[in-house]
Amino acid sequence: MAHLALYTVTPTDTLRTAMEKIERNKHRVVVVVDEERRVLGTVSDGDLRRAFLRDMLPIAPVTEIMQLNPHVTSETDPAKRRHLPHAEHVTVLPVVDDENRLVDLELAYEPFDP
Amino acid sequence: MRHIAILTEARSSYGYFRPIAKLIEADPDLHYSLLVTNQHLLPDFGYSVEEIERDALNITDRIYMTLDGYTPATMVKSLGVLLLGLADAFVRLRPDIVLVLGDRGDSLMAAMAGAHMNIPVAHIQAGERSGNIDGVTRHAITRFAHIHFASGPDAAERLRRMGEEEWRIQELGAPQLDELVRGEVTPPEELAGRYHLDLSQPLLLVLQHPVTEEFGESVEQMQETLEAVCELRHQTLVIFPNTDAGSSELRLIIERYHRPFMRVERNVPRRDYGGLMRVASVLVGNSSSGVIEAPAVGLPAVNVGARQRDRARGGNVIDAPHERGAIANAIRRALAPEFRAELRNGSSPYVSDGRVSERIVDFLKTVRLDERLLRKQIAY
Repeated sequence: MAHLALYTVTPTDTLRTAMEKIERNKHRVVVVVDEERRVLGTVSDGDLRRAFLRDMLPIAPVTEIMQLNPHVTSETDPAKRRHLPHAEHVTVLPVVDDENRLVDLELAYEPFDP
Repeated sequence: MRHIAILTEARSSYGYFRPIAKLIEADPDLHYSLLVTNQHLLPDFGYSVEEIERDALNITDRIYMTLDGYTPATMVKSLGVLLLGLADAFVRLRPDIVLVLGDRGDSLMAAMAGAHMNIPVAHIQAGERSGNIDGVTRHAITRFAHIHFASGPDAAERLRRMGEEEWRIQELGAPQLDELVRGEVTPPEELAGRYHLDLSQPLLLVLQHPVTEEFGESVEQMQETLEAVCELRHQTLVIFPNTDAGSSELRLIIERYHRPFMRVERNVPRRDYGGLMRVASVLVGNSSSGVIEAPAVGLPAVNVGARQRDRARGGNVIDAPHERGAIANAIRRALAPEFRAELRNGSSPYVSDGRVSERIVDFLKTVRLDERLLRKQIAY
């Protein structure tokens, strides 16, 4: 998976790290993944904006603001994934196994040059 | 105009206070201050102060208190921070009555501050039994409080036996059931949309808090419950626990166990929680709502572990130890149609006619605020 590091953060990463990655990946969201690669949540541009409106500091951990129920799919066929009903609403769709571990990312558009 | 100061620290107590605050607001002889603290102000716990803002209640103070770490020691220090904040708030607000609730340390701080500052303290949910440090805290609040609102005869009798004077004990019912009894909860279609639920399928509601005395075992305890849930693979909505010691580890475990058939919520607004109790098939965990509120809507509750050990309960409760097999079996039993059918004629020690809050507000409005009220006698 190309550029995976640009689309994922760890639970202890800060809001600032998430913001930096979003700035570079151009997909407006990062996926929070633990050391066993389980998908814990997502942090989007909007989540960060709301956090700053609540006066949170850039050093706060991403777990405090992440969305806990992101859209994910277990569809392994990339051709089919593109046509999933919820795929059109998200820029990054995590592909997970049945233990919720990240195996791939379905991107709504090609990554920009990082 | 009589001025009531109300302290709310989490969703659970806000459920009691919202109807009371609305009634005070509508009464020309009363006004209130709402002091919001602890869990309400933590983003990680859903930042439920926003629910209060949406309800357009008048928040006078936001007392930030919660130290990170969520250990027994940080719990104590956090309460100390709250006590400092309350002293300043009461000096500034000069309320006529401080209204507190239940069995939490936050309420004890408000009762202590009020009693020391010669402000009468009224306590809702007085005299009941609950386990562990909470149970001790409830009765410590009774010592400081000047007015005790009891939900039923059992609680009232306990207050008498604790040596509280008869006229201070007001047996008015359980106000937290008012909104449920009156059906003032979020309708099913709205819940289905908001939480992505398929209401034609069974729904498990999971809410399990850490138990302070069993701080070191909280993680294993939560794992046993989540293993049982994962074995059954029903549609499940898990709600994050409160901020007691052990809480941050529990949240991490819940995130790890997150499976496609599960939804995880940091916080569920009170109206939604009431609605979810009406549409759920079973409530699993150790929340007092399984014992107090669930019987009012005929919802079976699998009560795990010792947290509700001492609480009076109705026929909707199935107890289970912290063991995955036993919890899964208890859930299966709760999901059986026969069990649910039996609940229709079950009884509960917690009663409301939907108007308990009104009686509480009426009492607060008319009670004489004098030397007699402030000077507590221990009657034995």
